[in-house]
Amino acid sequence: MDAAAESRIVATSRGVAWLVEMMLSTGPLRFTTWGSNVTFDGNNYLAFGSLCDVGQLSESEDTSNSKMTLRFSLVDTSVIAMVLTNVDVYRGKEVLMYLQLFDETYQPDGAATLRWKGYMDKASISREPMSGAGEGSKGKIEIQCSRAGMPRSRNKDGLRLTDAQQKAEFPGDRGLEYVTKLIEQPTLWLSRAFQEIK
Amino acid sequence: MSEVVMPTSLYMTTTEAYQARFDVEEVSEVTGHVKARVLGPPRWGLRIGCDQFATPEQANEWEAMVIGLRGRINYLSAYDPGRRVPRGSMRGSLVVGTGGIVAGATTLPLSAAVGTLQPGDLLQIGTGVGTSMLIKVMAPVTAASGVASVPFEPPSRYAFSAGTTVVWDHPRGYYRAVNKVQSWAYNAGNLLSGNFNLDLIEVFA
Repeated sequence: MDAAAESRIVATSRGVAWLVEMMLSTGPLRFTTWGSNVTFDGNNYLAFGSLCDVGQLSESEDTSNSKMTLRFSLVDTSVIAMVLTNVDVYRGKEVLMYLQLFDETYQPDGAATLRWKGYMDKASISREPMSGAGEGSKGKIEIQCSRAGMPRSRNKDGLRLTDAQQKAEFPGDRGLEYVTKLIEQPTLWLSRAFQEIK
Repeated sequence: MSEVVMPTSLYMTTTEAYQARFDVEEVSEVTGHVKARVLGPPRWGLRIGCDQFATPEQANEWEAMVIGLRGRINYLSAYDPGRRVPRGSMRGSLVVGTGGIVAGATTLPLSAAVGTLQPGDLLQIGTGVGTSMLIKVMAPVTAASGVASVPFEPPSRYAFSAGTTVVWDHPRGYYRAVNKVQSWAYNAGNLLSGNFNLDLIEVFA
């Protein structure tokens, strides 16, 4: 965070919004949860306001699975078209989320900070029918996003270096040849005190 | 989405104007320290209605207006019935003064200004949805040599260049209807209709 953003964090009034950048195969889609358009780093982020919602973000230092959900209102036909089209448009494509602070005049204060980066996964559409006359139907579009490396970290054993991987990179290296045996057949080491004849 | 214009001759018996704010309060349970969290710019609101039976001509204007909105699809270009013109004496062809204003500004330089403005007077900077703004004067202003500096609220959402038109005669904002159902009633004999009501909230785009 720059100095202006840090000052805004401790100020008595502040606003916060997400700037979301979806790197679709058809071109980047940039929008913000703020009520008016925001320009950052030369890019214009469209004001989606309450038409979109960002799920709760979590941060961890370990390799735990971290997912984030982007939710859009069904009234946004452009997002519906994107979801219903070829999945290659969004599946596996990068999504970045920047945190932008606003001051009491509703203007951006300080530079936006990159807070989360991942890839878009599956999308789903849910709809609730009208409940009565004058009542509109409700629904939402949800796009699941996950951090980079999540498919590999789901299998923690996959993080362990194997003998085959080591030999593939360094042919003839026998350093990890007995790793599997050591793990599967642990050897009981006797203490010196146990071995001494008294 | 198209624009429906609120007629200046619209017959209203109930009118209410308000400003909707979108702020929340963050309070520390331990220290009591309070911070305001702004969720978005404030929006003007209007509640207008006709709770009496109007003449056929007056009712025609109401029905055309409320049905023309198509629920929440179209915009209504509406003025505040209590602030059709400034209560000060300022009139004429007002424009934004030298230097213009930036987004977030709270002071408007006026050119070609003669007369006074009173707190509470409304002015419209620019025209069109997403390219104009309805502002409220916050302190007494007296023009001098054709120039005036007007303190206003809420802070400007956009930048406006020098020379941009400033409307004082029926300054308008752009609104969408909040009502889910539009209804009206007829009197005995079905000769007159009334009981119109419209709840509006400002939109920016």
